Amino acid sequence: MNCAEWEEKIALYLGDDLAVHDLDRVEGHLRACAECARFYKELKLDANSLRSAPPEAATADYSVLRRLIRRRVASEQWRKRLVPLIAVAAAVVLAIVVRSTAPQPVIPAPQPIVVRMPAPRVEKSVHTGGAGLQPARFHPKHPTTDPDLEAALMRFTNSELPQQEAHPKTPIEMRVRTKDPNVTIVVFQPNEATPNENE
Amino acid sequence: MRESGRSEAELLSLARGGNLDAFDEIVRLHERRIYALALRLTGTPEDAQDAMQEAFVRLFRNLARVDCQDRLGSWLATVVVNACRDLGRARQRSRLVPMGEKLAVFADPGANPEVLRSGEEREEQLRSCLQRLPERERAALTLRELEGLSTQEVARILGTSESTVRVHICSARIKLRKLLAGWFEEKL
Repeated sequence: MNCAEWEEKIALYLGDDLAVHDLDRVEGHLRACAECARFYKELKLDANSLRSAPPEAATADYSVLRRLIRRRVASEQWRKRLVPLIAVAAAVVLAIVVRSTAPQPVIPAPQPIVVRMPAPRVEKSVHTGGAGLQPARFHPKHPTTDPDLEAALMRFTNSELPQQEAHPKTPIEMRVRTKDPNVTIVVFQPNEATPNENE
Repeated sequence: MRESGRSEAELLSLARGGNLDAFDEIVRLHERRIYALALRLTGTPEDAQDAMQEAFVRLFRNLARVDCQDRLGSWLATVVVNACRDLGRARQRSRLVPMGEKLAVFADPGANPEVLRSGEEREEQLRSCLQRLPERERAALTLRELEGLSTQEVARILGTSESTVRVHICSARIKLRKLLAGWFEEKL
């Protein structure tokens, strides 16, 4: 191990950072080697120089520095006080803006009242005579018409409708009875009359 | 109004309540030590003043978090080290002359042979050589020697491990010695 290799251990030794098992070796080398002993002495002088504060630290005008610090700290203090106020003001402004631009709440329309009523009774019947009406199945290629039925329906539609006083808006239901007991033609016609007209 | 006679804990408590005179007193208690540390770390009085101001302003901002039990001096040392580091980075970003180079020019050994022999010049040269060390090594060595802190405390302030601090301090001592030896040889 040459002297250059001892430098690191000597520097650690100076700072009390050397491992315990190396202490004896380094101290022995420092006693034996004049060059390393000189290096150690110089390191010690450097450390002493560093331990003393720089001369400017003793001559500096601290009152000026203190004034500068005070000024900055005072502005920080104002900022600290203003920030919550600004935050509150911003929140209020934001709330006003949001409130004025937000869509108005949609009020739901009331549910229509459903009144269940019995169907109006049949006011008019169509009498198709003795022959009766024979319902025929419609065939698109061979359309058939029943003249009796057509005539009965025509009479029905041209006839004057009775007034519905109880429920003027109730559609008028007409039933056409046919010969077949299983077949009844039901016709609904809207009641156009307004309540005022009915009165 | 001077808030003398109060303990550091009392001063901190008053300062937290917005008492700026109490804060001034805290500044008074630590200003010399913090300025000396900043001078060693930055190398120039101007930068040291900036770092010192920044450290105390940061203290004011964090008064609520600073615990007196936690040693205010150690807390301030951490802050001033960071402030000096930030200053160095800002200087690099703004592409100004690095601190070490500026001082090296200022302390040119050939500039004035008579002044070279004075102790003041040796101090300037020490500072110049210190600025040539890597930032972490310079901080570790300065905290150890100027502040007299243990390896553990230095590690806590620099946010690193104790073994890293040992390596940094050892390396810094050797490099500084070689820089100073080179300067003295050149002088002779």
